[in-house]
Amino acid sequence: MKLKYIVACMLGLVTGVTSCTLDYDPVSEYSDVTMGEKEESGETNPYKNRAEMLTQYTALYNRMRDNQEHWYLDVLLLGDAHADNAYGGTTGAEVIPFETNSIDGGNSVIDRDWSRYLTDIAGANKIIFYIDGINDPTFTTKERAQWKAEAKIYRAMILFDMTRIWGDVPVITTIAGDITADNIEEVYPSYFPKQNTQAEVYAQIEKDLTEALADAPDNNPADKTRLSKTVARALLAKMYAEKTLRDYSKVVKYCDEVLADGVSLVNDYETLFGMNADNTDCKARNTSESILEMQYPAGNGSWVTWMFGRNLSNWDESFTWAKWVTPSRDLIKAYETEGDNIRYEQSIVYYECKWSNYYPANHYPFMYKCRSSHSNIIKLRLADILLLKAEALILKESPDLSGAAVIINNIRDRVKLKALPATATSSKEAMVDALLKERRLELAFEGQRWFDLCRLGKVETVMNAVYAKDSGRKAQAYAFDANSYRLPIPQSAIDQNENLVQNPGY
Amino acid sequence: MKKNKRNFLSGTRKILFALLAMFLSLGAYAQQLTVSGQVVDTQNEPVIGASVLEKGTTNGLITDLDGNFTISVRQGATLVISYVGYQTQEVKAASRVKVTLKEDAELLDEVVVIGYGSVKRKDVTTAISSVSTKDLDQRPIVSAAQAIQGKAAGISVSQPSGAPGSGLTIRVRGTTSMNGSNNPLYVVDGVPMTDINFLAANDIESMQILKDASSAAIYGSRAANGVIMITTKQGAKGEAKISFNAHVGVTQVNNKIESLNTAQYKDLMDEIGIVNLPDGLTDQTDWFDETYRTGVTQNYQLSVSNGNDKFKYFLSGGYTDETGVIKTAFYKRYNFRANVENQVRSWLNIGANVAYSDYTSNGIIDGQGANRGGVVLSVINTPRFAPVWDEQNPGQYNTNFYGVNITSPLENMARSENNKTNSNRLIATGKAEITFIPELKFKSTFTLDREYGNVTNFLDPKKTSWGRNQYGEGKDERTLGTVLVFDNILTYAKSFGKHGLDVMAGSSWTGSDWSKSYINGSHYMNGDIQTLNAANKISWNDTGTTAAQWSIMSYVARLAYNYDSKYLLTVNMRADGSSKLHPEHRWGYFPSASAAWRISSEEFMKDINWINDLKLRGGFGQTGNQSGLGDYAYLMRYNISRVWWGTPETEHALPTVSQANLRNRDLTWETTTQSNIGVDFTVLDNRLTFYVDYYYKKTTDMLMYVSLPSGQAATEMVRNEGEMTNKGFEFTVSSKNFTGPFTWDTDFNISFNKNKLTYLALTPAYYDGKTSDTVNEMVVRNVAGRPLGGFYGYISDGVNPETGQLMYRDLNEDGKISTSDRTYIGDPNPDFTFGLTNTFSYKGFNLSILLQGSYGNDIFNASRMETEGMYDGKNQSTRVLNRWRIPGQITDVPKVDFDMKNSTYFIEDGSYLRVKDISLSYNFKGRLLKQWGITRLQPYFTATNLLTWTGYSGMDPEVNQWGNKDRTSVQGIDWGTYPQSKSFVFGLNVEF
Repeated sequence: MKLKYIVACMLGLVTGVTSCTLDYDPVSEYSDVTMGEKEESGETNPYKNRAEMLTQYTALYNRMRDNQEHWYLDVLLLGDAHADNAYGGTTGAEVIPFETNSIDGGNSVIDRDWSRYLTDIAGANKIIFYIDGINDPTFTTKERAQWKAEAKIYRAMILFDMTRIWGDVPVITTIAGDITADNIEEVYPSYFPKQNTQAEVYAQIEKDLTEALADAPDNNPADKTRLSKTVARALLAKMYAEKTLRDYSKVVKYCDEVLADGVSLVNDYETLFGMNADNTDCKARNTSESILEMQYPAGNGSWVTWMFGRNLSNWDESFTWAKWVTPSRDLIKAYETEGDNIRYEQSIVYYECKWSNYYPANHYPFMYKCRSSHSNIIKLRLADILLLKAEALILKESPDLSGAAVIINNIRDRVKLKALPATATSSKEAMVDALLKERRLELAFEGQRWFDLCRLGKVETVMNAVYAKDSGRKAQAYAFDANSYRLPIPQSAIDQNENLVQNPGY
Repeated sequence: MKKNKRNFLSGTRKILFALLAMFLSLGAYAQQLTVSGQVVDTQNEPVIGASVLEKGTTNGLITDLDGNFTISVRQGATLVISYVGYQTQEVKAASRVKVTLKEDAELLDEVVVIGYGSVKRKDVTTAISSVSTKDLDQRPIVSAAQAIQGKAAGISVSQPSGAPGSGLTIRVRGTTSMNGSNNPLYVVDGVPMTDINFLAANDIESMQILKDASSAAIYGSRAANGVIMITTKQGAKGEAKISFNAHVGVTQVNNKIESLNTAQYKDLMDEIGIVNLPDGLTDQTDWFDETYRTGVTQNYQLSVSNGNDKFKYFLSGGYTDETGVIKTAFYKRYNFRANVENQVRSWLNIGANVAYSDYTSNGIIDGQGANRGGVVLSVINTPRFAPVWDEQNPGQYNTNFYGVNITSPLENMARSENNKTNSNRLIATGKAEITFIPELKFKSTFTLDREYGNVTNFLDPKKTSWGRNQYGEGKDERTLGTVLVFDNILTYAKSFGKHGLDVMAGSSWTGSDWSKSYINGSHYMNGDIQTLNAANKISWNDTGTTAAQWSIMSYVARLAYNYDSKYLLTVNMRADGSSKLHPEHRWGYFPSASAAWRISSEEFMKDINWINDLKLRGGFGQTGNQSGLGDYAYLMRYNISRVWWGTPETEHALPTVSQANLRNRDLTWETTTQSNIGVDFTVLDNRLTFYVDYYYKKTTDMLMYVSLPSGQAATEMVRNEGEMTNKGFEFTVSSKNFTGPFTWDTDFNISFNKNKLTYLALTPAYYDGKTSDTVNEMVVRNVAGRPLGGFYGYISDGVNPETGQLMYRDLNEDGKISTSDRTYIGDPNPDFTFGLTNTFSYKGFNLSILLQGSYGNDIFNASRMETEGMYDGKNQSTRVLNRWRIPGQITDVPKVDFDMKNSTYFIEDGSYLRVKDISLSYNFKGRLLKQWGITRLQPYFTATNLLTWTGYSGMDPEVNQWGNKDRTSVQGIDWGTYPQSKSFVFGLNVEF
């Protein structure tokens, strides 16, 4: 009898007793257990109230501020070192092809930019897609509309950069549902999207920006870090000037609207990039000229200065290796020929260093528009928009050369340069050259030059000539041609997504 | 005393005894007989401590120092004489017996530990390798995994790096999972675990590897990568035994790659034109000598064991200390173990195993270029003109390399010199076995496996440039993990005539509770106080605590049937539920079956005497895997990012969260289905044994961290995504070439494995393996239809004699060399690996030689990119003296600053054959030792990695930079990896 009980007991142990729980919720992570809510339809909204959506809204701005690699560093590498303003600067295989025109799909800079831009878009989409469905009475319609507008401006700005770099890119505007065994066919195209044509990309940008104009915040002179109406207008102006659109009446319209928003040139060019007297902080934030900028106050600085030169607020920081985007002899010569000392000094600085990749170590030039970990990164400023208006005036159907000259001379006047000579203002072609040169000197190391050459169709003429006249430039690997206007789609992205098509010539 | 007495027991007396005994036996059946005798081995040496037992009783004793015994038994009784490592013999009781014990040469009666039970080798139906532990104490082995290398077919053991205490990479029959863990499951004294760093090799009694699904399936969910069963030593009945094992040795780096001297370096720099060196520099520092030194290994293990009929114990303690050939690297371990077992009642056996271990290690920065502090590469990359210290700034390492972005190896070593990784591990098991009736037993085991880990880092604020940059850095990370295992197993074994039945059923629950805290800080006043209270800034976004939990519930059952040990069948079933998987797909069912036919037991084989055993085995089964998964893998999780709060506007900022992954409602088990057929064949009086196995493994629902294209809510998702196959052939031969006074044994094993990734559902290609910053391209590309870990890049066609450029093949013939010209350029998977052990013994001398090697695997030697790339101011190896300099020059080394890519130029054949171990020992025998009570005195000498034959040009062909990293399929990349060393060790085994 006793044995029987024991056996029964043991059998109980073997089978039942130890069937403990297998359900655990994450202890130190937020998850769909704690976030979001299930709607009646069974669909879930991953954000259940304003507070949860606020984390996405904050994250969007933080991503813009903190992802300096693709937002800033790589833009300069492409905009200046792939053009005639700068050399690659280091010996890295990701950098040199920009200088020698041998960028291919394996380039790690291109690769990181592609995936980061697309990640940015996904961040914006989360706000645009989910914000209206949040069931939170304290979250006002007005505030929702404003956040959504900002996210749309953000998305448009990224699409604009992407299409300028690659041409045809996927336009992703929704958040696809979960991937399950049942719906994989259905959601596959959302996760593995095809490219849209550049015209479709522009259409989306136009739609996002014009829709955003209704609800985006106004330009705030005390806070230029926001995606305001003015930012939308500046972006619209830039888009309409692009090679395939060239809708110059709209360019002029939006440039004028930017001006009407109360943005104005600062008097002293140095205000934009300078430091305070004891080099502990930048000279100014939220200048009147700034349209959109990222700020790095004390305690929360930026690392990106390392990549270009010395950090004036921490003199010796990481100044032991060669830097990216080294000013070219061709650009230096352009400043010297023009006698443009103010902008020369604000754009280029000479230090003694320990390497001599491109120049003698004792007198080595560095790009100087990001001087310390507290320098602003100015994404959009008025000088760019004004010169764009000048460009539109020159190139529109009935050119207004003198109107353009007024704008350019206004820009020149600030840096104590004489007005354009008659030889420059006499013909449309000469004015285009004058404009391009002015943009080059004004906006050097702001990631603009390459895109100027593309927009104006000058890549082959300017860039194929520069290797011969710039003695410090590494040998040209391949000639620039019509295919050079678009960079290669990263090979790894194509390998990952068979729906993508490589650009011709790569 | 005893001994003298027995000497009197001579001729006449013995006869007298015998007569008396005979006489008495006539009178009564139960008359007692006094038996005296001696137990010797085949070389006529006495066997001390052999057990002599009257069969069917508990009447027994142990032989003395001369192997003699005297026992009183019933008339007509049978004596059972046994000793560990020898075949048990039965003899009829007689007044005088001499028993010659044969060494347990025949593996057939060896007991093989299988999951939740054990079985005799001859009754094994599955693929199980036993690793000989006989010579473990004669080799300077620190970790158990080392004992397996080259010793078992189908198991590839490689040391990915030479750093002390660095784990070994063990693959049982290839790689089964791409992102999941590929490490085998360890079961130590019945307790499953994933890490056996705590275990001293000297404590190991036996080690078996369950290779095929039908043997491993009993550990179902965790057994896809094979199971290594380890049993630790237990006290034996007899006299108390004290054994002491000590070894001390030196280690030296295996190989040296010469760097350019200052004149050659200046010459090179002038040619590259990036660095302008002043004239008049001379050689100042030999960085190789400054970095590498002779390392010292010490190991001391002491154990005491004893037992009687009811109670047995084994106690051991030890200390291991290894210092690396690179100064900052070390490994230190204290270990303690107590195994006890008590037969409390005739029906109740209680036991406990308690192991505690405290081990600490430190490494170096490796797997990095000299520009990022990599020590190994900076030995070559640092120019020789430079001094170690900066003369202008005392206490700082020299950083003046005229603009070259490197730091010297000594500075790089200093970067991690104050770092320590410490673990304290306690494994305590209590077990009770109840015998209801002899056939029916119940065993309950409860284990606490607790590990406390502490990582402390400190970087001096002055000495190194990175330290100055950060104003000194400190880190303290503590983890506490508790894994509880509760097993309840019921077994029933019975023979009915020729039918044998063995049934097992049970349940097993494993639960884990884990927590971690971490603090990072910077801005130290100086290097005197290293704890974080002396750091002025505590990192606001890298300090915190985290925790996680998981559990697995399992039910197991096994039915084994044999008919006359001739026809054998084993059927297993296991059901597993894991908390890491989606609740609706949480349970997996893993069946297996295996059968064997012992042909040699058939009637028609009866007359073939030269065949001792011939057995055909076949098996099929499924095992599961979920070990690579995060604890809440199926949920949509969010990363928490702190938001800066240092300005008045942000004072009350709250963290942001961002979606980390996509949820997976389908997440379930990865399943490996394996079929195995094998033959066991023993011939010629058990002197020659063959094991042959063929297997086919297919992994389906392979768990992968799918990386989706950017642009949607998240790019990472864990998914049952792919399929992979491994098929292979294993062959083992054991031969006793000579027996008698001179013995020579040979053991050879060879394994062939073919791996192929057969299917990927969503993302078609995965890249991995980024090395040199200069090339900045991944070299490993995994796609369906290829073996895992293939190298992908350009084909190089040598140096163009006119331009000096390395020529790349324009595969798509578009006139450009671009990414579309890449192809597969190498395969790191070997065609076969093998091990050969020869053991010779004669009169107490024992010589054992282990050869081991690998054939047909490629190595991507990324280190050469840094030492032969000639792209900036780094010093290079002397190979670049052959570089191209003038048009027309024919050479295989391109010009300076050539267009460097991942190409066949850096792919090398990684085949090698090496003398892994040579071990010579001598067993002292003699009267004096006996008088002192010493039963064993055995000094030994071992040389490890003494000789290597290879065509590989790097430091060592046994290299795998990311061999121990999780979630990677990368193999065979040499990237500034801590080099292997050779060692010379002197050791001593003493037993009382």
